[in-house]
Amino acid sequence: MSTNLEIKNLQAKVNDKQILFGANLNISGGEIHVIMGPNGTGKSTFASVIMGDSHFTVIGGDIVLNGESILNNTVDERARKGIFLAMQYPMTVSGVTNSNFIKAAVQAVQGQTVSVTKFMKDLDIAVNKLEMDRNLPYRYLNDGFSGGEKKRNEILQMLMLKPKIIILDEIDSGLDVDALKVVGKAIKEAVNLNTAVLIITHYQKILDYVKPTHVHIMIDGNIVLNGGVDLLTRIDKEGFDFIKIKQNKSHATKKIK
Amino acid sequence: MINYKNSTDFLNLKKCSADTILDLPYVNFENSLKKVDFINKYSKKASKNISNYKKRLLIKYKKYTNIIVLLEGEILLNNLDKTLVDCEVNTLQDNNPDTNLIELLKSKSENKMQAHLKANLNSVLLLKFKKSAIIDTPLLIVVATINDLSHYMQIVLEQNSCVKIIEKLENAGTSFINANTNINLDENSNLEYVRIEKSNKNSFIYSSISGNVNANASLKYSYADLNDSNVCCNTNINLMGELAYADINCVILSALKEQHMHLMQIEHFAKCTIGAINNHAVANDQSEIYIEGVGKINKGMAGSDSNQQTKVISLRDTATVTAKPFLFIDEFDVKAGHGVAVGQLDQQEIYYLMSRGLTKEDAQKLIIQGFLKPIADNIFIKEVGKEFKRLVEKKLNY
Repeated sequence: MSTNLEIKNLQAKVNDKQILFGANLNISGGEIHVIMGPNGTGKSTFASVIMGDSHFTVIGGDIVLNGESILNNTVDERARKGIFLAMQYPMTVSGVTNSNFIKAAVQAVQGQTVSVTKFMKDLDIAVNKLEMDRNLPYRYLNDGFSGGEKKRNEILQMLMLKPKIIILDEIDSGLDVDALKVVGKAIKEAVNLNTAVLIITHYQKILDYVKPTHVHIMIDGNIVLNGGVDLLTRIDKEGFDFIKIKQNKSHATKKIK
Repeated sequence: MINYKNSTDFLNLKKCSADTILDLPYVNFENSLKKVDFINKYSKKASKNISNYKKRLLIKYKKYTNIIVLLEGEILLNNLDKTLVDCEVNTLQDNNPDTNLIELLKSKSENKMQAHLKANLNSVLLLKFKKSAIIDTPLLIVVATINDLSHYMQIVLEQNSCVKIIEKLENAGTSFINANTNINLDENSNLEYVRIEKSNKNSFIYSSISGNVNANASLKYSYADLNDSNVCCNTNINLMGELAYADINCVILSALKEQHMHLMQIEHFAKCTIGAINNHAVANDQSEIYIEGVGKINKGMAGSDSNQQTKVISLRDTATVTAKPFLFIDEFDVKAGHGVAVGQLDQQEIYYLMSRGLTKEDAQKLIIQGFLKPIADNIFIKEVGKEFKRLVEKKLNY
């Protein structure tokens, strides 16, 4: 059975302020979804809530992974079930080397000890693939990394952990053109029948390398429009205004009724 | 065999010190502490059989080379490398004691603990490294006890010598340990000294480390307080010659209801001297940590640099942490700085690590290991480094 993540009518709040108002999404293995939308509409919150960030409280709806609700699972349990979130702002942890951390994470996800030689070999391959500085795995986790290095490091973790649902929160910010190409290629290769990707972005540049299968527009904590690649060209030309106008109209008609 | 320990001269000197204990004050930062009469409260004086412990120590340490194991003042293992021909080792078992030791016994005591040490002195280790001795292989010294211990250790480095020493202080059962270490670095010498203390529950340990660093000499001192008992530690380094350098790195871990009190002081007595203090502490349960850091630059000591950083993680709301950084500067042309940070583990960091599949406990463990890494990296004997990690994990109840 291929992987499936279903988000039903998701509502969430932070400090008594509701941010998500009933978002729906269905992602299956092999698909690449993109969520776009203006700033501050709840895209990152949506990603964090799926991951299980305790800052946010779910007040309605459900998140179902392969037929099983994960709403009651903690962050680490969700990660072990195969959900991965590449963060918009990865944390810095000094004193913990990158390779040590990734090894601990791989062991946690696989639920067994990993042989050091095999791990180092895999890590080496992944580092080469991402054209990263060879010393990067031995430096402290994100400590003194440039913005681009941090984002690449998130992708390195993704390659090593082999998750089922990959959520990339603005992975393209801070990456230069060449890095974008490398990262895009790595993401594309990661997708298979068991792996699905959800990309949250403002820029269409990365989508030149990772062709999405589904495009969604999020406005005011809700996914208001679903479509294919053609939606991207329209956003490129007209911005998000056409959707906002459309929404206002529908609100207006509702009120008249 | 006649040894100094049994000589009437030694016994008389001890008696003189014992007479002065009552009139003397406690250590110099006593005002900040809860008034506890360490000596009467913890001193046991009962003697227990050491034969089983002896066997355990022999098994544990026989695989090491370049090691001295001292059990209640007697050398149990002395496995010195050939390179250590440049090192003179002296204990109370020797017939002719070192002149420094007699001087110490005759000198006037500054405080109660010093007088108590002299009055009950039962363990002595004097190490003297000869001029230009360069010793690559680190030396491991284990000081062990079951009963009450009054231990005096002296490390003397003559000119141009370069040495690495790790000292481990450990005990079995409950003991009252009063340990005094005196370091003297001559011109141009270089000492890397690691001290790891691990005493049992219900023991008490008072350590006093004093050092004189002369011109162009450098002291890199790393200290790990992994004691399961109450601790009072007094570190006092004097920079005596131009361009003298001292760096203190300290780890303090406390758990349960322990009290750990530390004074770290570096005093500048010469121009262009550099002193740095770095403290890392983790307080758990209902324990209490008190750290006082003092950087003192005396008048006329221009071009000196005094710096101190204290970072403390408090794992529970019930733990008490007091950190006081002091700078006493009596000269204009100097650099000085201090900083203290006390806080809980960063929840965002924990969330980040957990989002990769680590449990909360594993995430905390990794962050604390990272926090203590700068000190763990200073431990230059691999096996001891591993043991340090193991002890840290055990202490913090992972």
